[in-house]
Amino acid sequence: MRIKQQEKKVLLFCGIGLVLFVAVSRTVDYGVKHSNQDQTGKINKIVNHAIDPSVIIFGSSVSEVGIDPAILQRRTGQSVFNCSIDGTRFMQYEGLIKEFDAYSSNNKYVFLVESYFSFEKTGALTSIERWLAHIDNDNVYRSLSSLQPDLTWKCRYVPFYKYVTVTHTYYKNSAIGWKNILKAPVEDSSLGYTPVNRDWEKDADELFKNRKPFAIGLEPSIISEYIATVRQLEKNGRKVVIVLTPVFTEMLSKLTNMAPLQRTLAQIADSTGARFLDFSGAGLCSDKKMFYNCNHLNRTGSLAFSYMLADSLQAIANEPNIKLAAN
Amino acid sequence: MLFNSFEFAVFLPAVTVLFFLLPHRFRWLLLLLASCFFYMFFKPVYIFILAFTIVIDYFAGLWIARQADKKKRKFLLLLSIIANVGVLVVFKYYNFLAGNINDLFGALHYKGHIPALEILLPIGLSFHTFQAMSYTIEVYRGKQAPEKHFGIYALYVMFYPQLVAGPIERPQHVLYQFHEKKTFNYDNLFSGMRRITWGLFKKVVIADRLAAMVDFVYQDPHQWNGFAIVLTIVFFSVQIYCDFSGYSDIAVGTARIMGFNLMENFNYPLYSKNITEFWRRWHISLSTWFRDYVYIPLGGSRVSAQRTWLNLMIVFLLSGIWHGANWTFVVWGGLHGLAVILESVTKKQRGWLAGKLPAWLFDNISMALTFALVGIIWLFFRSPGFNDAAYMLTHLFTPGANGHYFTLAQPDLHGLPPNYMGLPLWQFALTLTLVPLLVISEWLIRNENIRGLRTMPAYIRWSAYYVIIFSILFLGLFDTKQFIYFQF
Repeated sequence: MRIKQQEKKVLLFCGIGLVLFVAVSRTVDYGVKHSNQDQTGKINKIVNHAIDPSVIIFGSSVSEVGIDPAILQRRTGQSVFNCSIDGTRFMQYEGLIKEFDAYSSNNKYVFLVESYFSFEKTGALTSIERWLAHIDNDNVYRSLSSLQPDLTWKCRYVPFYKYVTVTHTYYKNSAIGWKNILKAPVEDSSLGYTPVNRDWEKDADELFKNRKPFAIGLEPSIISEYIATVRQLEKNGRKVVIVLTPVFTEMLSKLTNMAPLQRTLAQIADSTGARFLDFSGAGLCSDKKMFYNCNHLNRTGSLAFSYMLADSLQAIANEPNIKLAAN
Repeated sequence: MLFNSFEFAVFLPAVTVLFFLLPHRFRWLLLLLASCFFYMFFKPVYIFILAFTIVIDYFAGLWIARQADKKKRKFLLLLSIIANVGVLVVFKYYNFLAGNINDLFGALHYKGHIPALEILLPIGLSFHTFQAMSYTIEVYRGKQAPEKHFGIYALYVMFYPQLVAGPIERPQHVLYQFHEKKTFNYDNLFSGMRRITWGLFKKVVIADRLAAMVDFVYQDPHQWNGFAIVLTIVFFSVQIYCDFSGYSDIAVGTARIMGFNLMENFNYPLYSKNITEFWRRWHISLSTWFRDYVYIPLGGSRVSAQRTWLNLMIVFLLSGIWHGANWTFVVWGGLHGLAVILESVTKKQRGWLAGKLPAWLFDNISMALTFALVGIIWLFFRSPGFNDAAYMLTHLFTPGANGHYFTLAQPDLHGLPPNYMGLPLWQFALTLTLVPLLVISEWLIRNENIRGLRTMPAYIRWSAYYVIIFSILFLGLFDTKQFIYFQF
């Protein structure tokens, strides 16, 4: 008799705990999904299907700090959004591209912005908590899973596990999200651009001094996945523009195999019908005032680069043979 | 396998359920296999070191018990101790000894050089070696019959809840429990789960949060003002307590669910009124080990005062070197030894002062002073070398470079909000809130006021449990940080 009572007690305790937990976790996740700040905000915009610009930019911190969409908008008259997420490479944000490709009806141009490290193999996810509110989204899940399958699987399928991997930023985003739900959100006027007002960092010089010449990894499996994505985007009537961003000249001298990367990107463009714009040797690359480290442009550099990119986009748009789905 | 890992969250219920499903005669095998798996999760090859000491001590126990000749018994005991200490010397102290001998060679302008070994210290080596030694010593003393079942003996050394960081058990307390038939019991389940939850809370919510701040200051103590150094000393005292006692709580709770009773390793040491009392409350299984196997055989306190002090100093120096192969640990042990000796010398004066002051005032002052002294001595335990410890010790009241003593905010070079000892403001504030909460909770538990909670309605009790469980899930830091004492 006593055992039965104890069993009931255990079941009741676990049951109430579970209900409470589900309630709290749903509340937290719901808030995060409505955050409009930082990288979580960008991911939300795509996964919640909240934006549909004519031009969308995908990339890492290099393009996040390097491309001002407002300049592209002014020059071309197209709506532009910079969906670059710092710390990530193609394999991590591929899910966002696919999700966007699946729903967008207005989009004409997809910019895939690359730097010298784009196709290097990495086995680690960056800031998984930015993505966790959308871990149930198949596109997001698959791309995260390609990098850290164990962690991603546990976050999706093991109850409670997601919450032991997050830091305070997750809850901060939840609070922001709830604020947005209860009050009208302040729209992000930067369009995903995060300018950096910094001069060349001293420790970047130290890095050059100590760094021996090195080769960049070009992982075949990443390249083939990249080609498949570009093909799919092109097939859906979008014009893919592959951009190789400016790299400070001194850094280029340390890279022993930049040419293979450039050739690979050019071949990808040729084989898929995409356009390839190579800015890695552009004039501004020799000017230290344009960078705050070897591959990140500061605000001055990003303005100059954005104008160059806007002109290139304008030129592409004016080409008569370009047929786009949205047209 | 770490107690604060996902793997353990799967391992613990799986092993526990299997344990109760299996017939009694197979349970030792399950626990032994589970313990091997648990240990091999860290670095599989080190299981052979454990196997080596287990085989040696198993046979040593049998042979010592069979031998009637006292000299031969002593010889066998000595062999077993040499084997155990030998493993410790090779894996833990060799490089330390070689380094010191090489320094000596250098000072004497001698060109000889002893090469260092590139080996990693097996996790928990000092713990299971000491536990194994206590078995042969107790058999030698005739207080424990030799264990004939090799598997049960291996389990005594390897029982996974206490394998890597204790409590360092005695054979009389544990061995018979492996022969007993255990039946599932809800009281054990509830009590075990309560201990595990509280231990996990102390580890992932308090200790690891404090570790982030303590580690940040210790990275470069020179850039901090005296207030930050004082806070770091306080924080490390609480961190190491929560880390180690959290581990012990989880170990005791894990064993209790299956019906095993492990010895308590802590008895609220934060509230000790002197250093002697601190050592009766801190890492009890190690203190009693040294008391029983070193201090008392040396004569304990039944000899002259001077000899007693010498015995105390020997025990504390050994305790220091037990913790790690570094002179900082020796000094840490030595300072504790000195403090205990000073307490013994000033016993009369302290008694006189206690009579002059109200008891509550004397007790609280004693507690505060003991906490401060223990915290300052921890400097030598935590610092990688003497320079940092000496710097921190001599800059407790020094303002920072900006001339301010109480400023903790450090500006971010990239324009982000400032950090407070490495944490964002709200995390820092949360930590400052959690630490006093823990101290108060432990005070209430110690004074048995918390027992009132058990008589309260279920909704109050359960709310308290849910708050702790949710704090672990939502506030805990699970970057699988190791327990500090694993390295010993």
